[in-house]
Amino acid sequence: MLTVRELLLRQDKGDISAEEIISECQKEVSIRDPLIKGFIYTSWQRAREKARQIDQDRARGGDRPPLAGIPVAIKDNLARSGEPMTCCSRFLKGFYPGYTATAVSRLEKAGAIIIGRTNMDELAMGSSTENSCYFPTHNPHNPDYVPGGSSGGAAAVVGGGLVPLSLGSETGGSIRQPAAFCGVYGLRPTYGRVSRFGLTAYASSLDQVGPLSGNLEDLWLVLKEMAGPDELDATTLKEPLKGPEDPDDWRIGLPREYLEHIQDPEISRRVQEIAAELEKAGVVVEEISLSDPTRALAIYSSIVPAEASSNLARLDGIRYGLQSDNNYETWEQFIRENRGKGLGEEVRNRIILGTKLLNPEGEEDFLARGQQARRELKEEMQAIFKEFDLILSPATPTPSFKMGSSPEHSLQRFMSDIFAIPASLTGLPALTVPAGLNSKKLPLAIQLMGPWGSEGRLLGLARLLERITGYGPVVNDTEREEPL
Amino acid sequence: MMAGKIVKIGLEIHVQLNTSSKMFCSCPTDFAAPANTSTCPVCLGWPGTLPSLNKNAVELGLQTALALRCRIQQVSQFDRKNYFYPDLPKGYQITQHFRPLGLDGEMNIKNRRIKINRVHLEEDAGKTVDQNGEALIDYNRAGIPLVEIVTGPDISSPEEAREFLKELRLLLLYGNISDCSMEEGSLRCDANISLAFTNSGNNGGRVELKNLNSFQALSRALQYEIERQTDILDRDGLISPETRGWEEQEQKTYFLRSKESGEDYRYFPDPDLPSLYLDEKEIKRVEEEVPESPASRIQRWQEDLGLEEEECRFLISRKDRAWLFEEVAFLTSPREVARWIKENLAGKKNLDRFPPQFLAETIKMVENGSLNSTQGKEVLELSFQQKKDPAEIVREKGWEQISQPEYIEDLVLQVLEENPEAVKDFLEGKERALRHLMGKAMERSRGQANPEMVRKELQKKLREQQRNE
Repeated sequence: MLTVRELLLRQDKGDISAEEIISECQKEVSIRDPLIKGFIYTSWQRAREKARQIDQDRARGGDRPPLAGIPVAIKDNLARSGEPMTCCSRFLKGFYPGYTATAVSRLEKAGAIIIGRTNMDELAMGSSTENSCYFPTHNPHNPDYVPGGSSGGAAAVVGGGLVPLSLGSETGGSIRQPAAFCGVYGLRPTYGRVSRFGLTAYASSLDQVGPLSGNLEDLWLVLKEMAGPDELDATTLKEPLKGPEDPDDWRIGLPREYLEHIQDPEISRRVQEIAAELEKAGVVVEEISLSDPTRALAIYSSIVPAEASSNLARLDGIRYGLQSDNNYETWEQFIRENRGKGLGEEVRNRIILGTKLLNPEGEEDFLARGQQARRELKEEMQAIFKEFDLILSPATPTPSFKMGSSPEHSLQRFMSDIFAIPASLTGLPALTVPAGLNSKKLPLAIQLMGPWGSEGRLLGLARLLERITGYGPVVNDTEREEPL
Repeated sequence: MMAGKIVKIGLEIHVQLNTSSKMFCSCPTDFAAPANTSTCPVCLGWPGTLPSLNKNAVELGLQTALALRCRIQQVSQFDRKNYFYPDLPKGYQITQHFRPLGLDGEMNIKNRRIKINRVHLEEDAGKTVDQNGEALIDYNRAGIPLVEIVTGPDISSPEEAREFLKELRLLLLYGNISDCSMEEGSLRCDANISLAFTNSGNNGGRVELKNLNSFQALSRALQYEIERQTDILDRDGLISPETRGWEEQEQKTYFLRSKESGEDYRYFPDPDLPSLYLDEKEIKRVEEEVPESPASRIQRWQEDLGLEEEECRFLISRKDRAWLFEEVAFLTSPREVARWIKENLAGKKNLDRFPPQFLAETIKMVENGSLNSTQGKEVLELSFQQKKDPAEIVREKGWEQISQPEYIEDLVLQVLEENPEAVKDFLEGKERALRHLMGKAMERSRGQANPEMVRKELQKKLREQQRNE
C-alpha cells in the first residue's frame, strides 16, 4: 500500500484519481481481508461517491483538501452517521447512531474517505480481538497469531497493507499493543488532544482516539487534522499541537523496571540494540528507575472497571440496543434480560467488578487507593520528564501470541498492556514504533513515551530511529496480486 | 402527648431553571412540546455522546446561591449519581455531590433564620407516564437544568415549612431564576422530619417525605407525620429511618422504602466534565445583576412609600401584581394605588399584561371627581377585560363630563327651583344644604356635569339670592 503522501502526489500528477484509489482498495480488501478478517463492515458505494465528488471538485479547479482521496478504516466504536456502530457487541447490533465522531468528521472534511469499520474486542474490552461478537481477526503476519486488541482490526488492516491509515481508540494500550503486534505505528495522543465525541466510552478519564499507520509521516498528517478543541467534548485541550521536533541534546530514559518485565529475549536484545544505535547517533540514553509497571496495572484495574460500569449503564435496551422478547414483569427484569443477553461475559465481569469498586461497602476501598496512586504516578512522571525528554521502553513484554485460549495466553494477554498503561493513566502521549521482525517473522516494537503535549517530540525521535536503525514498519502485503 | 416535643424539619427543593436550553445539550426546555420531541442523542444517552455545560444554567445556579447568601465555592465539580431507572437515560444523573456550587447560606422567614446547607446544580430525569397500565416514557424533561436547595433541620412546624417554601418561591420568582410552578413541576419539594422528646429520650428516626408538590400537601403531610410519629413514640414504639409518599386522595403518608436497605448511588466525579471554576470577577458580576429581592422591596415600600406591611405582603405575593403596583405607584398616591389593586384587581391574573397607564388614568378620573367611585370600578373592570383605554370606555358609556356654562347654569337653576327647602336651609346658614344641592345636581345630570363647575355655579347663585334678600 502506498503512503498518504504518495497517494496525494500521484493524484496531483494525474496518475490516479480518488475513485481509482478506492476501487484498488476495494479489490485488495475483497481478496485479502477474508484471511485477515479485519473489517466487520465496508461502505464502498458511499466511499466511491465521495471519491467521485473529490475528483469532480478537483477537475473544476478546486483546492485539494489535505487528505483528498485517502482511504481510512475506523474502529467499530466510532460513530458515523449513516452506518451502524456496534462496538462488536451483540447488544448494539443494528444500532445506527445518526451522528459522527468528531475525529471522523474532521478527517472526512479534510478529504479522507472512510471505507469501513474494523473489528475489535467487545466494547474495547480485550487485548486480542478474539472477544468480538462477529469473529476473531488474524495477525496479517501469521494467521495463527492474534493481531492484539482491542483495536486489532484497525492494526491488522494497516499491517496487512489493506489501507494506509486507520483510526483506533485506547484506554490502556488498545492502539499501541495491536500496532506492536502488527508491525505498524500506533499513536496515543495526549489526553484531550483528539475529541472523544462519538467514541463509545469505556473509561472516560483514559479514553483517547488515535491513528495507526505504516508510515510515520502519515501519522502526523492525520493527527494534525483530528486534533484541537471541540465544543462537544469539554475535556479537549486548547493548547495548539506542536509539529515534529528534531532531537537536539535530548536525554532518553530507559526504565530498568520495565526491562525487567520483558518476557522475550529477542525483545530485550532489540531494545538494547536500538538504545545503542541512539547513543551512536549522539542521543544520551540512560537507565532510569520508575515505579514498577505492575503497580500501574493495579491502579488501572481499580479505576477502569469503575468508570466502565457507569459508562455502560446506558445500555439498558430501553431506547436502543437489544430488547429481549421474553415476557417480563418489572422493568428491572427487562433491563437485566437485555444486558444479560446482549453483553458478553468479559464485559459483564468488568461491569460487576466496577460496580463493586464504586461501592466497597466497608471492604477495602480500592478505587480511592487507585485514585491516590494515580496522582502519585502523575507526579512521578512529571518529575522524570523534568530530567528526561522521552522514555524508551519495549512496547509489549512478548510479541503476538497464538490465537485460542490457554492459561499461558490469558496471562500474556493480561500482561501485554503493561508498558502501555502508565501513559494511559497519566494522560501522556506515547507511540509504538515498529522495530522489524523476530526470528519467527512476527513484528517487534518499542514504545516512546513523552511529557504532556509532546506528540511532535515522539514523532521526531521515531523519524531518527527509522533512519539509523534500519528497522521500521513491516507491512505484509506480499500476497498482493498487482501493485497499486 | 408527651411534653417537650421538638419537631425538626428540613426541606429539599428542586427547581427547574429558566434557561432556553437543557443543562448539557442544546435541546429546548419546552415543557409543552409533544412527548420525546425535545430530545437529542446527548440527552437520550446514546453511546459516544458527551455533556457540554450550559453557562446560563451555571449563572442562574450561582444567582440562587447568592440570593440565599451561600458561600460560593470557586471550584465546584459535577459527579455521577448511578442508578437504573427507565426514565434516566444514561443510567446516572449528573449532579454536584462532593463539591456543590454553594454552601452555608440562610434565608429569613418572619423572625426566624433558616440555614441553607447547600445549593447545587443537576439535571432532571425524564417522566414516566402511566397509560392504561402501560408505562410510557417522555424524555423531554431529561436534562432540564435544576438547582437543588437543601435546608438545615431548622424548620419547627408545618406552617413554618409552608412559609419557608412560599418565601423561597417568591425569591426565585423575583430573581427570574425559575417560573416555580408547582402544578407543572418546575418547583418540587421533599421534606425530612424527625421528632425528639426532651424528657423521655425516645427520639424518632428521620423520615423522608417525597413529592410534596403543593403548599397544602407540604403542610398536611408534615402535620400527618407529626401525629403519626407522636402516636408511635407515645406508645414507646420505634420510628426507623424511612422514605414515605403522600397519598393526596386519602390525605395520608405511606411507606415507600426503608433507609436501611441502603440507597447506594455509587457517586464519583464525572470524568466527562472538568471542574467548574468561577473567578471572583464572575461571581461579582452575577452578584451585581441579581434582581431586587422581595424582602428588600417590602422594606423599600414601607420606608419610601409609607405602605403597611400587610399591604406590601399582598402586593408581593404575586409578581405581576407587584409589577403593576410599581409601574403606577409614582403616577399618583402609592397607598391609593395599593388600595385600588387590592379592592379591584385582587382576583385578576396576568396583571403584567394590563397597561399600567389604564389603571393610573382611572384612579385620576375618580380623584378629580370626573367619575364617582362606582363608575371608577366599572371603568377599571371593563378596561381590564377589554384592554381598552378608560377614557374610551367613559366616552362609550356617555359618562363624559359636561362643562358647557349654559348647561351648568340651567342645571343649577332647575335644582334651586326644585329644592326650595334646601335653599332655605342654606340661606339660614346651614352649610350642609350645599352638599345636598350638589348631590341633586349631579343626580339630575346623571353624573356627567363637571362637579367643580356645578359647585361654583351653585355658590354663585346662592350668594346672589342672599344679596337679594
